[in-house]
Amino acid sequence: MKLVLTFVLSLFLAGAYAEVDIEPSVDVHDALMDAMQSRSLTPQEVSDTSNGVNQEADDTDTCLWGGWISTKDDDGKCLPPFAASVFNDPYIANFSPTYSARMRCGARTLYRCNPVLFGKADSGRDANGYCVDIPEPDSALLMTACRQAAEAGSEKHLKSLQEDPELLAQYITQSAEIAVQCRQGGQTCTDFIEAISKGVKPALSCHENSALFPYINSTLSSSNLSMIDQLTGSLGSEYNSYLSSLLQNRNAAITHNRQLMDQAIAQYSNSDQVRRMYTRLEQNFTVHYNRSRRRVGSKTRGRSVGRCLMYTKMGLLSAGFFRSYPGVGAAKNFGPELDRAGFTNLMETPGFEDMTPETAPEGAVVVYTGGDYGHIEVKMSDGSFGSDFNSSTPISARTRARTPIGIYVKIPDTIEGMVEVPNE
Amino acid sequence: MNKIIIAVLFSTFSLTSFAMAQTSVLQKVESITEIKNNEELKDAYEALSSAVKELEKKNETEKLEVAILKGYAAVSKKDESLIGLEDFAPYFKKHKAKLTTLAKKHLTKDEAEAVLFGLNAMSENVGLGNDPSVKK
Repeated sequence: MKLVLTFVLSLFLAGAYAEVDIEPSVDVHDALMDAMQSRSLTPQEVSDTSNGVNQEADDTDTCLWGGWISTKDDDGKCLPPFAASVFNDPYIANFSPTYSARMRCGARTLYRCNPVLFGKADSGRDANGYCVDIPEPDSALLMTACRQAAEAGSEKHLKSLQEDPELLAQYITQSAEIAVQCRQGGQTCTDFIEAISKGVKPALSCHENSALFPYINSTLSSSNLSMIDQLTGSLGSEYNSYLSSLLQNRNAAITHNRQLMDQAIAQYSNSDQVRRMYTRLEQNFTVHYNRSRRRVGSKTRGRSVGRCLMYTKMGLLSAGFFRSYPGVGAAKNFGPELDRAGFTNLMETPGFEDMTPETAPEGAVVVYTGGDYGHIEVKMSDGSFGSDFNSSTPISARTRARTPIGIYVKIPDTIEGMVEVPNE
Repeated sequence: MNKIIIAVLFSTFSLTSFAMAQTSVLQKVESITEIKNNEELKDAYEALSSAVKELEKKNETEKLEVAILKGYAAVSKKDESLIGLEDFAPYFKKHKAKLTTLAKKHLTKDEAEAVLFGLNAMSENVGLGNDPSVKK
C-alpha cells in the first residue's frame, strides 16, 4: 500500500510540477520522473488501484482522489471527494475548496480536477476546474487526465498563484497535507517536499506572508503548520504567531466588552421594568388561569399548569417589554419574539456563550427546547425560577427533556465603549 | 398449513416481545419510590416518559397505568411542579375518566389531588402549546 501511496503522490507530484514550477527546469523534472520510476508499482498494487477508491496507505487519515484531499471509509478505502461525508467533514474543510455539488460536471463519467492544483478555465464548464472524461473512477486514469487537461493552462495557473494570495494559500495548505500524509505513509518524501518548496517560494515572494493569513484555516494541525514551514520557510510559524496575537486581541476585546456588558446587564436586572415583572410573576404563582387566561382558582406556588409561556408573557407585559399580548403558542419558539422586543440572547454573545440558567443574571428570560412545546422561565431576584410556578432550580436541573437555547436580557443595542471582537 | 404455523409462531414471538418490553418498562416505573436527588428525578422522568410511550402504542394495561400514576405521585414529593406530566397529558385526555378513577383508587388523597390537578390542567393544553390562549 505504501508503494501505492508513493505512486499516487508521484503522479500528483508530476502534475503539480508541470503546473506550478515557477522556473521550470528540465533537469529537476527529469530527476522527479526518475524518482517516480524507482518506486514503480507491482502488478498487485496496480490491480488495487484499478477499483478507483483504494489509493492510500491504510495508516493515514486522509487520501488523495484526483488531486482532492479525501477521507477513508471504515475499510480504509479512499472515498470520492463528492461524497457528502467527505465535503462536509470539518477536517477536509481545512483544504477548501471542497468537491461540493457545484463542482459536479454533470455526467456520470466526468470528474472535476482539483482547481487549486490543476488550475481552471476562464469561463464555461471548466471555470471551477477542468472536467475530464474517464471510463471508470480510477485514480491513476484521473490523475493522468487532469495533468493533460491542465497542461495548456499551466502558465496561466502559475500566474494566478503569483497574483492570487487565496489560491496560493490553498495550494500551500493542500500540498502540506499531502506531504504530511506522505510522511505518515513511511516515505521520506524529500523529492516531493523539495519540488513543491522550489515551486512555491518564488510565488510566495510576490506577496507579503500576512496577505495569505486570512485564507489559511485556523484549525490546521501543528504538523501541517510545521510542514508549511518546510515548504515555504516560515509561513507556518508566522501564521501561528498571527493566530496567537489574534487570540490575545480577541480575548482582550471580549474581556473589555464583557465588563461593559456586565454593567448593562446589572442595570437591566435592577431596572423598574424587571421589578414589575417579578411582582406580576409572584402574584401569579398562586393563581390558576385557565386556557383562556381567566382566573379559575388558586394553586400552590410550586405547581405547574403547563402554561409557562402564558404566565411569563403576563410578566413581560406588566413590565412594559411588550405593548400587546404576543402571539406565539410554544415557549421554544418565543426567542424571535424576544429578539424583536429588543432582547439579546447572551448564549449567542461573545464572552457569554457558556452561560447556563444557573449562572444567568437576575431577570433573565430563559428559553428551552425539548418536549412538544419547550419551556420558558424567568430568573427571579432570589435566584429561583418563575413562570406558571416557582422552583428553586431551573427546569434543566430536573429533567433531561429540556435544554436551554436562549438566555435573554434587554440591554442597549449599542453600548458606548464596546470594541469589535476579532473573529477566531 | 405452513402459513398457519408461521403466523402462529410470529404472533407468539410478537406477543412475547411485547410482554417483555412492557415488563421491563413496568419494572422501571415500579421502582420509582423515594427520589433523593435531581439525578434520580431525571431518571424517574425518563422512565415515566418511556412508559407513557409504551401505553400510547395501544398497549395500555391497567397495571402499567397504575404504575405510571404511582410513579408521578412519588415524583411529586421531590418536584412539586411535576413538569414531566406533560408527557402523560395527551394519554390522560383520551382516558380521563378511567385514569381519574384509578388515581383515586390507588393513590392517597393528597397524591391523587396533586397528580390530577396537573393532569387536568395540562391536558387542556394538548395540541395548543404552553400558551393555549393563543389561537392557532
